[in-house]
Amino acid sequence: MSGVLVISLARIGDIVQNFPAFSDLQRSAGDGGVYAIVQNDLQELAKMSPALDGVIGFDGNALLDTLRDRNGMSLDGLSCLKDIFEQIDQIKPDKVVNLTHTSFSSRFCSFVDTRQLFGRVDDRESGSCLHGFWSRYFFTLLESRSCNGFNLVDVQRDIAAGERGNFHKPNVPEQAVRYARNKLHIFDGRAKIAIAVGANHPLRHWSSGNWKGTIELLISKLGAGIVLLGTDSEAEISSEIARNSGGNCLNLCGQTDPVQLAGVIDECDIFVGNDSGSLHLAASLGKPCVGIYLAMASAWDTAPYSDGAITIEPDLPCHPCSESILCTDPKCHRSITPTAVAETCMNALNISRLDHHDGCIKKIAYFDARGKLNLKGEYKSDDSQRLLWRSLIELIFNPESTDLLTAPRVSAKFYDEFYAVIEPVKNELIELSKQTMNNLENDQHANSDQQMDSIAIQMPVLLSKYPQMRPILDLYMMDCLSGDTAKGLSQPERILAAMDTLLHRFHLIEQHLGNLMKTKSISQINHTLNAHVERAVQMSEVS
Amino acid sequence: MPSNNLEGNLKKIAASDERLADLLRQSYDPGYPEIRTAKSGEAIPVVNKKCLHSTYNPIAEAQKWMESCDLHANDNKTYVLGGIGFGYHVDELLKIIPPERLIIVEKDPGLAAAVLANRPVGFLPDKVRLLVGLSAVQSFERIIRYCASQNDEIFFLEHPASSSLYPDFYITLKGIVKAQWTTKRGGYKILLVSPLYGGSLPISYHVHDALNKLGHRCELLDNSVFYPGMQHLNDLTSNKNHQSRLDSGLTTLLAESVTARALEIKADLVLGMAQSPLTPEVLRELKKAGIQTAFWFIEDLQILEYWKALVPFVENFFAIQKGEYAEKLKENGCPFPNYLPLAANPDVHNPMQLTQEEESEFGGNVSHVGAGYHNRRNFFAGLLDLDFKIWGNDWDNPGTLKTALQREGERINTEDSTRIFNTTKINVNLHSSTYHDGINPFGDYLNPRTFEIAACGAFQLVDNRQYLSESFEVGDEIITFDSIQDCRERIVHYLANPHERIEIAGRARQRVLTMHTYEHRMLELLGVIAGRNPHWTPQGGGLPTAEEIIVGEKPGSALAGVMERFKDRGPLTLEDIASEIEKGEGELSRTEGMILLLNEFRRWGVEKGVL
Repeated sequence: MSGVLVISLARIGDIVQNFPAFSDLQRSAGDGGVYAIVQNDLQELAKMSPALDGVIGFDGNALLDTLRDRNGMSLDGLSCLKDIFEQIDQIKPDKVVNLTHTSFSSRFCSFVDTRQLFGRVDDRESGSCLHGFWSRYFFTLLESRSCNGFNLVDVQRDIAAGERGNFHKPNVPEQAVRYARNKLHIFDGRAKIAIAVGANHPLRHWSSGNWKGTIELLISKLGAGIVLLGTDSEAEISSEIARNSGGNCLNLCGQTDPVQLAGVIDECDIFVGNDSGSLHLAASLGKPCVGIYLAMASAWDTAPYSDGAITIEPDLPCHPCSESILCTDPKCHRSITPTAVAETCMNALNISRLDHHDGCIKKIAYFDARGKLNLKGEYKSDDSQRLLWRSLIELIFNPESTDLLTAPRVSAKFYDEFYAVIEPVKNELIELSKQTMNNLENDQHANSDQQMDSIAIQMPVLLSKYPQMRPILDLYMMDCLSGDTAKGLSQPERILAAMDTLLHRFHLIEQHLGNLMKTKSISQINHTLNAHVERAVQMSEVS
Repeated sequence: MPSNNLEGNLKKIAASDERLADLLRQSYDPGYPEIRTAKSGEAIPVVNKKCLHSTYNPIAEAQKWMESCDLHANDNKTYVLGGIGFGYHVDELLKIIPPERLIIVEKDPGLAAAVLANRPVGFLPDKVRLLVGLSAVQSFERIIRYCASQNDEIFFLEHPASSSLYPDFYITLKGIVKAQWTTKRGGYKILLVSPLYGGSLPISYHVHDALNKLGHRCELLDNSVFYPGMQHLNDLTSNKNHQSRLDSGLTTLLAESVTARALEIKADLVLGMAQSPLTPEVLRELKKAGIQTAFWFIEDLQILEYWKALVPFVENFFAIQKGEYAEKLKENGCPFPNYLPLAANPDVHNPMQLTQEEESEFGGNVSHVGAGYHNRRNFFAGLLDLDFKIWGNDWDNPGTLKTALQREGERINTEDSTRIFNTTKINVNLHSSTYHDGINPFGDYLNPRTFEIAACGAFQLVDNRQYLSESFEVGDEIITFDSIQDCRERIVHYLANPHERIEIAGRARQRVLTMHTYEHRMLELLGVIAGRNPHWTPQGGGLPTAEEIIVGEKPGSALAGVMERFKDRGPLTLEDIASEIEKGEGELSRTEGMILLLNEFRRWGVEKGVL
């Protein structure tokens, strides 16, 4: 038996977002089967994916307990790990995919005996390595999220399998269905709306006052029964909301395990919530859903992976903000109103049109011709950049199948400006490349850290000058640090190889954009783009 | 006759320790202690109205005490008994413990002499070691020397009546034994907080060295990096009110960093040096987090009074003054004030071979290293005709002293101070005073220079201080002066008698090495804390050695195989093992990989704040 092992040691939302990748892997795995390692308390949730043949539980809490004893020197943790590796040995995985981006998971999979590794892996020779182009792309997003046009699930799918097809809806166990029906029967005959008021970061929490207002509107306009979902930490807020709802709210916060949570969401007609694990669970179950994206949450990154799901974001230039910014005045919380959310819910239930609300940007998720999630609806100015990069990244990683016109609504003016920047960046990079060569020739004994330092000094200068080029420059940095071609190369050799790759990628981009500009005038491009957009919108409306 | 027994017993003791025998002979006083007879007929000593044994039946009491100790004959420990009393409990102990494994420590030489006078000759077998009249630190050092091997476990047995008689001594000794035993397992994790500048800063470095040398894991939170920032803030405004608010804001910030670091590294103890940025709020928070706090106030309690705001919140307060100051500390909310004098660091303060250039730059007949305090300015004006050099800062407007002032009053760093001490024939050490014209007649504590000059094996003349004779044999190891005239006469005398200078300085150095290093002070400081807090143990319960891990494994197991290479390394951390494995070459074994993985998980836990 030889199968695929997926490392998925993360939270509810991350595991659910891995479900489509499990399906892709199942198609390519053959008889060996697909197995996942997940946190112990999420094993039952993972088992809901029909694509998995087995789930290995990882008891992180028990391992932490062993580390608390004698500063970890009881070494009892070794037996916890030994048990897991014995289970892995039985699978004999032919391929390991690390979809958890922690140093622990990367080290973990480097000790699994296997032929192929995907994702972030620790290599004893070259340190932390990223196996596969898309893994490296994922890491560039950590620094250049404002340029990202891909949904995280699609990136995970590309890392895992490359080829994609239909993915399975999770199976909700009968017991969870019964639990949900039993709890929700009080709302029989009414529209049932699941609402999760929490999120994993305080800045992503829409205020309880907003939720109260939304719930009042949903009750008064739809006569809906509201089911409040979440963890213990949201129980107090939810119970206050429920108390003042005239018996129209059922508060299940802190009362459901992940599988029961799935059962309850599946029994409801629609799900509304912040960008959270529950939202992704609802999307995986194919529920109509409305996601609210505040602070650092971005619909482009993590929109519900479901056709027709609606995202609401604040129409603010600062959104999405950086993870590292501690905002003391989150305007985004005030920008989205209860009326906007309640009316969007009615649209999701096909009761009304998706109207514009001031202060909000609403988008609808759909799958493009390649099966990747895209967003249509209201666009912000920086969406042009995301859409262009969505095309360019496809071009870089998959040149044969690229069609630049998959970037609808990118204005011709933006193309022009972008094209004009490529040449000077390229020249500066060539100069940098020459300098690196000189440094190497003049200082043969410079160690790899020193070489990295010189790049680390140059790169921020380039990035501040050409911020729109961030993804490709970040990719270069990732290539310098690691990569499939890194093995056996010294650090300076790796830097030069990465420089070569970077210049090649720039050349590719320039060539394609140049051809486009040469063959068509700007007005023609605009015309073509607009036609494309119209076609796409029409198609989505038909579907 | 009791005195006959004394001589008989002393004769046996003199065979192995003549000095002790002499001390006991000199300490013997037939009227001390008062001796009563128990109802069962045995003689029992009474000191300060406290009976050191049962007045009914001291032997039965000793047997009961013995049972409570739960000792076993073959456990290969070294037993330290604190308090000899009249030895009834010693008789019981020796029925179980081999005499070569027993060390008896007695604080009171008079009492020790009395027991030898009153008990039969030979009641202490020859192999029993007796330590009398030493400080807790000295006793501990002797105990270590007497242990059969470095790894012997030392078990402290407390004679409760003796402990109640001299609680500070026995609690500290017990604490030192306990604290040093933890070093076999990595010791305590200590966060040492330095000030931003000033005289306490170099002492923080010495304390840091000393704690690590003792085998504890001491991390220095070196706040000197913030000194330029503090100066910058002071320069922003001349408004005193604003300056004070900025200072206070900076102190609050730095104090917060102490909490953050202490929690991050899971400190067992936060030790603040004088002027270090600790606030009552942070001290309260640390206490709440179960972290012991200590503060060493190495300044004059009378002159600087900020200690008053801190003492109610510091669990262990140490000062370089005692007596009336201890009372003041108690009045201000410090129930157990501790006296801990300054010291020297022999790794830094030591005799040096200097080059000719250095000799000509730093050398001279008479020098002083120190800041330009009021009393020094007055006093030193009387030495200018004696080839006198002044080194140090804060000598603005030096007037007639300008000719003696070196480097235009630049601050002198530790290394150069040591060079000056070493190359100067006579180092004049006048303790500072802001309000006396010359010598402070009420001066008590000793400044660090007293110990540092001595540690260098250099000769010094020091103004007479109340505590000086406790630390040095005045006249034999150190020479004092009481007036300018006295000082001048001694300078002339010792310049003319270099051999005397060398001999005196050599003895002073020896005294510092045996009693006044920062290692001695830190032994005492941790001893006090560990003794007063019986449940204070290193977080995580200490660290095992490779040998212990191997013993716990099945022979030939993979883990035992990995641990073989860590033998003789002492206590190990997971990080130690992982980093050694990472350095290795070749294929990783599964067990090695898992150790790396475990360490990675630990790092993650620390980063996320769950460990």
